[in-house]
Amino acid sequence: MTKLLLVEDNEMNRDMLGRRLQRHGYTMCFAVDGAEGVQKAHAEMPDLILMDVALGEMDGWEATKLIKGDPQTAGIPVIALTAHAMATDREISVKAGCSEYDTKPVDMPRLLAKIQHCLNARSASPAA
Amino acid sequence: MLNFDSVSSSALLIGNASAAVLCLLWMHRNERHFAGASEADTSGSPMAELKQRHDRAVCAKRAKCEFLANMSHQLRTPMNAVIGYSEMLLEDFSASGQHSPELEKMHELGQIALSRTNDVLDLAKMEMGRLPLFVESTTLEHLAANFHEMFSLAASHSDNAFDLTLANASDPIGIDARKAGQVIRHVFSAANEVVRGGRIRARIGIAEERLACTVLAEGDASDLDTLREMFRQDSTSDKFSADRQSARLAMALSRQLSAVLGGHVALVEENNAVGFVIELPVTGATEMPPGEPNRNFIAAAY
Repeated sequence: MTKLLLVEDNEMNRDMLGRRLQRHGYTMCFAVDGAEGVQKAHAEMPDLILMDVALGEMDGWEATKLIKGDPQTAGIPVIALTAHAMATDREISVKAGCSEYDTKPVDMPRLLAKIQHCLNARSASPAA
Repeated sequence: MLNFDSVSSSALLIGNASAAVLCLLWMHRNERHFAGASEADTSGSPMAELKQRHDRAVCAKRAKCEFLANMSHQLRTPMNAVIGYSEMLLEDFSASGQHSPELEKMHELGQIALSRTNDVLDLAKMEMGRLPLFVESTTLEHLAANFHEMFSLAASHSDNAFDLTLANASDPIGIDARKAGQVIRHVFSAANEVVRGGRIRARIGIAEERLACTVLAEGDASDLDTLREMFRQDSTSDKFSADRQSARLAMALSRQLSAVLGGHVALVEENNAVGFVIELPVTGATEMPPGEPNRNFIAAAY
């Protein structure tokens, strides 16, 4: 069963997106801020991380850098999610090491396609 | 004597830093004239005062744009949950073979509210000069995939008949598809919100390295006059009634966005119809960089 880690500080959005992804067959685990996201990435070793970037003290990009900087979790693809939709968000996401970027509210078919794309790319890579 | 105080104050009032810059340039060219006409100024030279006003105008504009961007964020976050939960309920209804027009309406209105929020965010980004292009390899068929359904529904709400024709829709093109779609959507919205009980025709085609879209409206003569007038008025005009302000915003956005894309929007008259022609440059798919630019991000919605 494919496991996804959703790092999202807004309770309603966490509940809504988590339940929708569960409906599509994914096992979900959750973190409510950047620090817990990094900790859960280690503890749960998910197949993919959905990272909200606006998370308060440690933002999603900082958490992504820590995850990507650790050899144990570096291979986990990260999709950055943001409601900002500002031009700089995409550039910062790339620099932080995110594999994909998407805006909220999510377009579910598009997000599912991106998740699948990342999972396929990971399974096809020699390090997988 | 020119009252530069009122000119620069007007620039401040409308938050238009460009106007303040133009005013500053004009003052610079006429510095000698103003040097002899500054008796009323007690806090320094006219140039110094104008410079101060210009700086304040720039600060005010930046603050306004940041406020709009932050407010858009604050609105988009709860809207995300509203739209997501309504989609979940729609999925539940669909799975059990049921249909809920009220829920569909709620979802549709949520999408409209989000779209308006995004429009404001785009305006803020354009004013800040932070609206980059993301050219992707696509087709008109893909770009206009939901136009027929979306425009037909909106036209029926305005009691308008609607038809759409596409030409060379499967030709591969390179364009910022989201922004091109927005320009067409805004132009259609402007026409559809002004003309009621008429007919709207849209023709979109690809030819000679450009995307051309013509949106023509037939209907009541006074509605068509309003369309003509709306195109001629600038976006700060107060001429239009409150219920047509969104059409005016749509028109202003379509013109600004088309300029960002290197194209333009023009007024067109054809037999008994009035409308708009959009022309946007496209590149052939063969001119796209190998592997498509930023393939991982081609669907990112800016």
